[in-house]
Amino acid sequence: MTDAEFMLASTAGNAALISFALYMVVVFVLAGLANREQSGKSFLNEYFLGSRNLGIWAFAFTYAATSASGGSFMGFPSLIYTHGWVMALWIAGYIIVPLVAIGLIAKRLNQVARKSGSITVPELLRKRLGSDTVGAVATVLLVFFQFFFLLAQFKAGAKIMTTLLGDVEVYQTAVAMVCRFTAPIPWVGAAEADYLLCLLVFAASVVAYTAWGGFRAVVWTDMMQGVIMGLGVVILLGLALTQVGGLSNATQELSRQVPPRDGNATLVRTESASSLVLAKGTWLEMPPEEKRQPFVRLKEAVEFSEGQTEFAGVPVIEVRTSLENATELKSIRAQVKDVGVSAQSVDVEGYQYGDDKPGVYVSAPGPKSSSGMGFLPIMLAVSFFCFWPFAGAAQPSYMARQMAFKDIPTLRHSIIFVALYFSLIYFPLIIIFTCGRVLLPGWEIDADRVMPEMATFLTSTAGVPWLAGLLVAAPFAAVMSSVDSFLLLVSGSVVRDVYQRKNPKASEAQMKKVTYWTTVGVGALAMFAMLNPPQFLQDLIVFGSGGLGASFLMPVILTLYWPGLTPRATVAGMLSGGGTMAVFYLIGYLVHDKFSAYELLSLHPFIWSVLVSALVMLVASKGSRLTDPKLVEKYFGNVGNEEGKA
Amino acid sequence: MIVAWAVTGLWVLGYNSQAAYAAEAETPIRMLFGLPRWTVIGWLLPLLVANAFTIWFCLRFMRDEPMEDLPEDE
Repeated sequence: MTDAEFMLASTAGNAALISFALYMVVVFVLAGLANREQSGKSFLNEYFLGSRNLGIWAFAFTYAATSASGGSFMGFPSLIYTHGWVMALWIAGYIIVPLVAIGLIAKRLNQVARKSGSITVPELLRKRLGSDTVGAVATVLLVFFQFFFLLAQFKAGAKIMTTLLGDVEVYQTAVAMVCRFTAPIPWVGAAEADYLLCLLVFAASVVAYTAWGGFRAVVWTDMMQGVIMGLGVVILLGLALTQVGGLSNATQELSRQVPPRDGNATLVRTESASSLVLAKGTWLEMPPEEKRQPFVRLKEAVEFSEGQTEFAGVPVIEVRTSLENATELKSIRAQVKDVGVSAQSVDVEGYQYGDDKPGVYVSAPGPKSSSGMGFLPIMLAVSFFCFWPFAGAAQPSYMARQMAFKDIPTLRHSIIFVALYFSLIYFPLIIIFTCGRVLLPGWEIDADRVMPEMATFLTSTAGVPWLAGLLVAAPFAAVMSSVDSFLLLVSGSVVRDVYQRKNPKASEAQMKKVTYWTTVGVGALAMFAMLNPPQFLQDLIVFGSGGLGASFLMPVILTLYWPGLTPRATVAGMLSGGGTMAVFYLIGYLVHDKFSAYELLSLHPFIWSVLVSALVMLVASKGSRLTDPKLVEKYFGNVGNEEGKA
Repeated sequence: MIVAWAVTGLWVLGYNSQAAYAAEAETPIRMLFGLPRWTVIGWLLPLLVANAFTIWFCLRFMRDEPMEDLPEDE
C-alpha cells in the first residue's frame, strides 16, 4: 500500500468510526427516552406493543425497516452480485407485497388482538381458540424459526462492522488482543478474530438498547434507520451510475461477463530472500487469451516463509474478463500489483450453469455453480412470487406491528408508504449491485461482503471517504432494525406465553426482570451460535421466514376468518407446515451436503408446506372438538356460531 | 387483493417465462432505458401499475371501521 493509499484508508476508517459512534449515541438516546415513556403505563403492553397507538410514520417506518433486514442489504446484494439481473424476477413478488401482506390480515388481526387483549401472536391464537396447547405449539415454532432469522442478522451485523472498521488502528489492536485470548478456546478460537470482536460489540449494543427501551425504542430507532437506509441507497445509486459510465455501459459490460471458475493454483515467486504475505483478495494477471484476459484472485491469505519459492494448493477463483469490458479491466488492473509472484498449474472448474456463456448475467435463469438448471428455473420463480407476499403476511414480527397501529387511516396511508418505499429500495439495489459486478469484480470470494465493500470503494474513488460511514450505516441500520424486533418478539413470546402463564401472579417488577434477562439470554445464545456461520446469509433468512410463513399462514388466516376452525386443526396445521419445511431442508442437506432447500419439481418448500398445512387443517377440523361457542360469538357474533355448527 | 396479486403474477411470470429466459441468446442484449428490455416490461412496468393500484385501493376502496376498545385490564 502506498502512503497516499494508506492515508486514504485511514481517513475512511476514522470517518467510518466517527459516523458509527454518532449513530450508536443517537440509538441509545432514543432507547433512554423510550425507557422514560414506560413509567405510569402497563409494563407489558407498553414494552411489547408501545401501548398500541402507533401513528402513520411510526407504523410505516417500523414495518418497512423491520422488513428491510440484513437480507435486503447484505444477502440480497450478494445474490445480485452472484447471479445478476435474474434477481429482478426472484424478488418480483415484492411488487405486490405491501398490499397483500398487510392488507390481507392487518385490519382483522388488529381488531381481534384488541378484543382479546393479546400482545403476542401465540397469545392471540390461544385466546381466540381457547386452547393452551395452541399457544404452546405456536410459541415453540415461533422461537425456533425466528431464531434462524436472528442468526442471519447477527452474522450480517458483524460482517458490516469488520469492513467498516478494517483500517482503524485501535480496532486492529483490539483484534490482535482478541486473537491472543480466544485462539486456544475450542469452537470460539476457530472464528476469525475480527469477526468475533465485531460480533461481540454488535450483539452487546443491540441487546442493550432493545432490553432498555422495549418496543417504543425499537420503533423510534426503526424510523431513524429507515431514513438512513433510504438516503444510503439514493447516494449509492448516484455514485455507482456515475463511476460505471452510465446504465447502458453497465448492462453492456455485464452482458459480456462470464462466471468465474473456482479451484486451486500453485503460486511461484522469483525472489525468496525474505518472507512474503499475500492478502486474501490479491490479484495476479495471467497470460491473455484471444478474446479474454484471465486473472486469478486468492480466496485466502498466503504466507511464503524465507527461502520458500512455491506454494501449492492455494484456493483461487479465475476471472476471465472480456477485452471489450474497459471499465472492468481498468478496475482489476488498478488492483494488480507486481509482487514477483505468478500463478501456475491453475486447476479450476466452471459453474454447472453459465460457464463460458456471455449473457448469463442479464437473463434468466442466471448462473449457478452447483446446478445445471441455473439459479432460477421458471417454477422456482413462480414459487418466489407466492413466497414473498404470503410468507410476508405470516411473519409474526410484522403481525406484532399490525397489532399496534391505532386506526384505519394509519393503516391505509402506511400501506401506500411501504409500497413506495420498497420500490425505492429494491429497484435501485439491483442496479447498484449489477454495476458492482463491473466496478468491483472478483468478490465471489466473499460475496456477503459486497455491500460494505461497494460503499467503501465508491466513496474512496469519488474522493469522499468520510461518506462511507453513512453508507455503511444503511445496511447496519437494516440489520439492527430487524434484530431488535426479533429479539423483542422472541422474548415477548417467552415472557408472556411461558413465564406469565406459569406465574400469573408475578409482580410487574418480576416481569421486568424476566423480560430484560430473557432478551439478554436470547441475544447471547444467537451470538454463540453464529461464531462459525454458514456462507450465505440468504439461505438462513429464507429458511427462517419460510418456516414462519409455513407454520402460521394458514392457521392465522383461518383463525381470523373462519368460525368453524378447531384447536386441534390449528395445532395440526402449524406442526405440519413447519415440519414439512424442516423436512425439505433436511433432505436438501443430505442431497447437497450443505444447508439448502430441496426443491421438489423445482418448487420452493414453502409452497409444499403451505399446501400440506391447508390440507391437514381441513382433514383435522372434521370431527375434532369445536371451539367454545362463547369464544366464537365473541369474535364473530351470532353469524359465527351458525357457521361454526355447520 | 388476491386478484391484484394474480394479475400481477400472470403479467410478470407469463411475460418473463418467454422474454427473460430467451434473453440469454440475444447478441447484443436488447435494452430499454439502459436496462435489459425484459426487466422494464416484465418488472418495472408492473411495479408502477401495482403501486398505482395500491394507492387507489387504499384511498378509494378500503373502508373505515371503528377500532375495538381495549379490555379493561389494559
